[in-house]
Amino acid sequence: MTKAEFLAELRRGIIGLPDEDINRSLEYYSEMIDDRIEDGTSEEEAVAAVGAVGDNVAHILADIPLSHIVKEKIKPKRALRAWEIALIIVCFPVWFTVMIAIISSALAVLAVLWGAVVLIYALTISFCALSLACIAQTFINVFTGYYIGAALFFGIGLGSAGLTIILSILSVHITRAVVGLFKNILLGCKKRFAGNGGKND
Amino acid sequence: MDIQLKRGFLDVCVLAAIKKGPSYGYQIIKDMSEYVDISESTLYPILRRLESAQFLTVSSAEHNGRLRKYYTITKTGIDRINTFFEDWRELVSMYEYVKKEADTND
Repeated sequence: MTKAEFLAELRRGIIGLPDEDINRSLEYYSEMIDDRIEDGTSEEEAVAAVGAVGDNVAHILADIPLSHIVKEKIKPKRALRAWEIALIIVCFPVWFTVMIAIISSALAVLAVLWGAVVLIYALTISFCALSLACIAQTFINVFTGYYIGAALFFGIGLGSAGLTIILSILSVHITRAVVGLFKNILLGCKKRFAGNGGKND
Repeated sequence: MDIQLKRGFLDVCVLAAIKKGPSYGYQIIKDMSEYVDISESTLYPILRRLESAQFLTVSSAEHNGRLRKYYTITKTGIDRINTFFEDWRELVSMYEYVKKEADTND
């Protein structure tokens, strides 16, 4: 890949960002490639050393808040005409409802994901409390001479303790998976808004 | 290493790389490469973050018929490095405690 091809592809990946951010990023990568070439590497090698376009786009977008990207995306690129403003006002009930529906769906997905995390932690704490209560009951039953009850509670306590351990491990994995999924969804949204469309090259 | 922890360390490494004088992106990577593996894509958000936090300033100068950006550390940036040393002393102290306790239990 040549430097021009790399920069064109990078530009397509961040075209939805403000012009200042686009120019800044392109200047940075252009300078990096030029410096590598000046250092004795070929153009193709310099471009390859800078890394894949997708990875660079992800790094550029990482520190930019999604709200900033969306704001830039929906900002009109020119002054709106009178009929366009009238159309926006007339269609308000439609686009506002759709917007609320999209936001609600996104929040519902988030609630389900984090709800799963809260649920697994709540289960872990419940089983932990159950195992402790059963062990305590076991001792009480031993001291009162009710050995069958003691054996029963000891068994339940042991089973609950085992479940607590399994659920603790699961909790960590599920939390990591949800955080990873959340990051990927956020990056996907950023790429979607910052990528092609909305502006002309 | 924890991502947030590494991110903080890398910020200070970049500041250290420009402490002796203004430097440019590729030179920073070359200077750091002996100690830290850092790519162009990793450096870019760090430089932006440090600039936003006013730890460094950016200026352009002509070089071989093209413009090159030079990064200069600010007083706040130097203070950040000094804070890092203080934090580090605390971290080393924590490390020594953990190591001592771990060795005792062995």
